[in-house]
Parts: sequence; C-alpha cells; structure tokens
Amino acid sequence: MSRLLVRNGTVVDPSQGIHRVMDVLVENGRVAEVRARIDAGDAEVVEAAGFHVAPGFIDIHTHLREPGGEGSETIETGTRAAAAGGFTRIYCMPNTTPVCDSETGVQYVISRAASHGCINVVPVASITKGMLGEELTNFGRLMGCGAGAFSDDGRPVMNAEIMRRALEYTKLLGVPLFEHCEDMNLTAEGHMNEGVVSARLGIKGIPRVSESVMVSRNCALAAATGGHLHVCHVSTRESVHAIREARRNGVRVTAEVSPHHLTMTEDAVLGYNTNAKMKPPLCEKADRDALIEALEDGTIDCIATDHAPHSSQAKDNVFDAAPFGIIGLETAFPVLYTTFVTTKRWTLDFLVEKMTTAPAKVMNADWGTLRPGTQADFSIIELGEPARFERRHIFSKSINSPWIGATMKARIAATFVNGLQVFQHPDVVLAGAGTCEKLAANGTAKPKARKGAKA
Amino acid sequence: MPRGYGRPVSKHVATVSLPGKDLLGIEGLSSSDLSTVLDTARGFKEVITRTVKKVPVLRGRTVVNLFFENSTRTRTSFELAARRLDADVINFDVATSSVAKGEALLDTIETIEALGADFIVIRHGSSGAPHFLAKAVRASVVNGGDGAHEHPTQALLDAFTIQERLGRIEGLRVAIVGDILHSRVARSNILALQKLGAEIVLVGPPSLVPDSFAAYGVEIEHTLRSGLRDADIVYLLRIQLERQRKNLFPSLDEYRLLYGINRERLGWAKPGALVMHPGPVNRGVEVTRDVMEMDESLITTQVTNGVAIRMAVFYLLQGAKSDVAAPGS
Repeated sequence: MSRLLVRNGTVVDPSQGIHRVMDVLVENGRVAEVRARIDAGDAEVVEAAGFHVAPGFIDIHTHLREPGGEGSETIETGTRAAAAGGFTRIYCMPNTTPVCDSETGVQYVISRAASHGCINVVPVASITKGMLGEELTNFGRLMGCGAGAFSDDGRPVMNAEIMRRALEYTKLLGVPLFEHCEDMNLTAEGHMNEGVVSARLGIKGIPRVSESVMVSRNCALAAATGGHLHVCHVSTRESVHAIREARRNGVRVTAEVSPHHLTMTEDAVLGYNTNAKMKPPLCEKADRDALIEALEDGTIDCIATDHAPHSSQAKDNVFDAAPFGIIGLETAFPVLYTTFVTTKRWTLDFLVEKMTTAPAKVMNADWGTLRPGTQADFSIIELGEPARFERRHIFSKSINSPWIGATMKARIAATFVNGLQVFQHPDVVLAGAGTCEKLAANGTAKPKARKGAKA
Repeated sequence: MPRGYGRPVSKHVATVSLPGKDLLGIEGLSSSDLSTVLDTARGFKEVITRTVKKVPVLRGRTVVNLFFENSTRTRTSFELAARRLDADVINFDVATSSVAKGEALLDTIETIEALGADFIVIRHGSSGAPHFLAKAVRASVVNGGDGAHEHPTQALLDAFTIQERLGRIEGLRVAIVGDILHSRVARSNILALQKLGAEIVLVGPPSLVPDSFAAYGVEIEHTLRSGLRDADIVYLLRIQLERQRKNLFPSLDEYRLLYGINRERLGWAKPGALVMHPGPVNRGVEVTRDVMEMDESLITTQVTNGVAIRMAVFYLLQGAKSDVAAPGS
C-alpha cells in the first residue's frame, strides 16, 4: 500500500468548510483522512507547514491544440502547464485539426492524455460536425466514449434552429452546452473592444452587443427548451444582465469568467500589445466591475482560464494580424489571489471554491474536494511572498501571457494527481516533496509516473 | 560641414530634433515639437522654391519607402523630400504582394536592415505597423500612414499650410467632415491641431463619427449646417467607396446630398473660411470643382507643403543622430 502524508499544511477545502492546519493522508491514490496530527507510520511525508493545501483546481475551458496545433501546445505540455497552475482536471475544447467531432477524435485525446498527460483531461466534443454550425454530432455516442460536454468554442452556433435542437437533445444526456456567444456579423473584422481605445488606436472594434445579443438569444432558447446552457467567458455588463435575468426566471443557464476579464481592461491593448488580444475582447472598467460582482453574487458560477496558446511567430505581429487568445493555466490562481485576496475583496475560500467545486457543479460532478474516499488531487500553495512571474515559469509550449514580469503573491509549490506528485515549483523548497523518482529534473513528472496509480 | 547650393545655408549646428529615433505619430509629440517641425519646414520651403532645390544634409544616407498600400502621391512626396536632401532612395513597393497581412512585414524587415537603410518610411494597412517595425530595426521609422491610426506628416503639412496662410492656428475652429472612423488623417489632425490650440468639430453621420471620439475632447455634429457654424477651416476627408458596401452609409449620392460641399454650403461656415482636403478628391462628391478652384481652397498648397514638411522631418530625425547644417534661417 502506498501512503503519503501531507503534514501541517493549512487545508482549505470549501466543500467541507475546512480552513485550518491539518494533515492529509493519502492511501493508494485516494484521500484516506483529513484531520489534525495523523500518525505518519510508514507513509512518505511532505512537510507543508507554512503552506496551504487545496483541492486540485478544475478548468472547464482550455485549448490543448492537439491534434493539429502541436506547434503551440500539446496534451503533454498543456497538462504540465495546468499542473504548474494547481489544476488537476481540465476540459479541452474541440477546435483542433481535425475538429473533435468523432469517436476517434475523443478517443485520441483520452489516449494521448493517458500516455502523455500528467493530470485528468476531459475532452469536449463539438456541437456540430466540423464546427460548421450545420449538423449535430452524435452526442450520445461521443459521451459514451468519454466526451464531457459539447461546444463549438471559438465559433458561435449562429443558426438558432441548430442551437435549439442541440439544447433540446442534451436534456437527454444531462450535459451542458458550452456556448461561445458572439454574433459574427456584428464582430465582422473587429480585433478589440469597440470604444475609446479602439477609436484612438485606429483598430476595428468588436461591439459589446456582439456578445450580449447572442447571450440573450441563447438564454431565450434555453428557456424555450429547458436545456442547460453554459455561457463561456462572459465579458460584458450587458451579458451579465441577460444571464441574471434568465436565472431569475429559472432558466438553466450557468456561466464562467476568465482571470483576464476579471483583472484587465481594454487599456491593456495600448501600444498594440498582442498579448491583450483575445476573444471576447477585454472591455471597459464598468464591464470588469460587473463581472466581479456577478461572480460574487452567483450570476456567474465559476472561473475558467480559456487557456489559448499561440506560437511567438503568430503573436509577434501587427495587431490585426495576430491571433486571438492568451495562455492562462500557470497564472490563474496567482493572479486572482494577488488581485482579489491580498486586497481583502475575496476570501481565499471563495477563490478556491470558484476554481474547484463551482466548476464541478456546472458539470454536475462532485470533484474539487478532499473528502475521504475521493481521488487525491490537490496542490500545495505558498501564499504571501511576492515573486516575479518569469518566462521560465511557463510550462506551456507557448509564451503568449500578458503577465510575464508581473509580481504575484502566490506560487503553486507542488501539485498531486492520484496522490502522485506531478509538479514541483523550481524555486520553492518543500521538504519531502519533489524528491521522489517520479519527478523529472525539470520539476514535472514524466508520464510514466502515473504507473501504478488507478485513474 | 556640408554647404548648401544656390545660397549658403546658415552655419549653426542643429540642436533641434524630435524625441526618439522615429516619427510614429502626433500622439508622442509635444506642442513645442510640432512648432519645431513647422519652423524647420519654413526653411525648407524656401529651399524648394529656389532654382536648385537641394541641400545635401542627407548625402550618403539611404531612405527606404516601404509602401504596403498604394499611394503614388504620398510616396512621391517622401521620395522628393529625400532626394532634395541628397539621400539615396529605394522604393519598396509591396502593395501588390498577395502575402498575408503582417507576414510580409516580418519578412521584409530583415531585407531592409541588410540594405543598410537609415530611414524607413512605412505605409501599412494595419494600425500600429510602424510601431512594430520601429521596435525591430535600428533605422529611423517614419509613419507614412498606418491603418486607421495616424498619418503624422499629413497633419504636420496641414498645420503648416494653415499657419502659412493665416499666421496662426491657436483659436481657430476647424470642422473635419466625413469618414472620421476610418481616417488616420482625421486622428492625426485632431491631435496636432488641438496641441496647437485649435478647436475641433467632427462632422458626419453617426456610423462614421461615433460618440467614442468625444474622448478626444472634440465636438461632434451630425448635420453639416450645424457642423460648419463658425468654422475657420473646413477640412474634408476622402470618402472611401468600399465603406459604402459595408452599409456605413447608403450611397455616394446620399453622402453628397447630406455632406457634399458647394459654394452655397460653404457659406454656412465663417465668411472667408478655407477649404482643405488630403487628396485625392472625389470631385463632385466631397466637394464641387468650383469650390476647389476658389482662392479659399488650400488643396494644391497642401501638396507643395508636403515636401517641405517631409524634408523637415528627415532633417530633424537625422539631427538626433549627428551634427548637420540647418537650412535657411
């Protein structure tokens, strides 16, 4: 029997209302016990005194680019980036080449994740074949082989009839439709939020109504069908308003918000910064404030990164030729902790909840907990010490992050999946951790580290 | 120290220059920088009215005109300015290239660096392209127009033309009429004329003059009559035919009906108001031919002054690098 004891860390587990110094005992990849002063016996011991221990984060919105986009990310590098950010379970979007719209596509992601990934990966399959918005994929068949949700992310389902049928059909399966809400006619050739900054920079704008008009339409369709609509990366105050209204009326709609929309505004684009170019675009301060409030009052359910790797060649370009998107797995928790918890706007428990049980709840799952008997997925976090986030802290294959050089007051010290360490921060010393042969020299476990663990 | 031809140029060593190695936009310039350019251009205007129109302050230097969009007028003006300063000029015409946006720029940068360019004049369809280029090269980059962002030498020559005619800019009311949203000329002129003390009113339909422009501290009017009220200068922008296809306005005919300038409508502005246009003019659309031929029209003067302004810009950017003789006095 393999046993691991994480000793004297401050355990933060909102699912059990725990926030105090405790020990966590892991046996055979599962949480055996969480309480004060557990006898180590023959267990390996990680000394976590002074650190925090939280359930592994769950990200329901990432892009791993494999297959077809291996130049910017692979399942191997993407899951390492996730582990470096304290994530132990991620959903990856189907906008790969080819699109993940078939059993083969879903199985490919699952098998690559098993052989090369270091955390749990759930493939999201597309709503329509080829993401062309015309013909539904075989939802039942795809779920049967492991798809966790459906989305045409990156592209909206423009045809309301298709969206209606998709929402109707998913009622059968009990999974949400992750919808990227955008009216492509309104967006046209836009590259950033339409407003004062776009006027000044001479960049064609994307009007905020491009998102909210589709959020409103999709909420109406969810109301009409009773299907579960999940709105991806909400970015405007008008969309927040539409979601709040729909929820008030009992419509099954959930929503996520990204760390960048919670912390940045369109001002970040000044200087033609392509690492501030994403979809939906960064909006105004009033939008940002509305998103923060919406997360706080429950209108928006959870945080999701929309980790979108793009190669340097693609991003190092004139603004309107650069692709949309930034990476976000490594920085999500540190950025949000620094912005909202150190300033006392949020409690640590609130932030952890929004990154663990909250996204799990969107998926009707009970992940994101250290409850005994569950899979031992957790991270050990160092809080309070200001440290510069540098390029070498990026494990993604791409470096399109606006936070390189930023000072953050949180670092993920180590991440464990199934009780096995899959990440060790190169600059943080954690007695007892990172010493096992399972960890590669670069601080991340090689795939074979998971042998013996039951996934 | 090089000597001028014809009349000797004054012997003082240049101490004036522009901030930084590049001219990327009016945004980065102070009102005194603007005055420096206008004062310097006055000297060069005198040079180009001589029989021998050269001063060899850029002898041995290479100017590359890198034009990703067609513009014979602007390119010729830059070329003439560079030649009158005795520079070697290379015209890199990439407008016809079918290479995707951005890629062509990255590819071309290496070539230009290898050619040993001292100045690169860039015109590009992407806003911010000159800023991107300036970070990548040692040469001085001059923005010859980027997307819908800025066209600083146009604004400088416009300010020069106004000052030359009226002796001042401060306190003037300038109405800029037309497609403000897509106009780099409008943005650079708003910034330059405001810094020099003018009052700006933007005139055009709401789809081409959105409210977000109020952030510039300008007035916005959607009807021509109210927009022209008390205007000292009526600055007309070229209407781009392709915008109409995107339904930003219904038709050229309707544009002419609502915003076209003729003699009668010019009367809505201050008596004796001057008419300007960056060219090329869609005759009979933005403005009638008879208005263009009035003494109040500065349209051809703008073109002449473009050369003097661009000479001044090269000269001042060069001034940041070495000691060169100033022209005129």
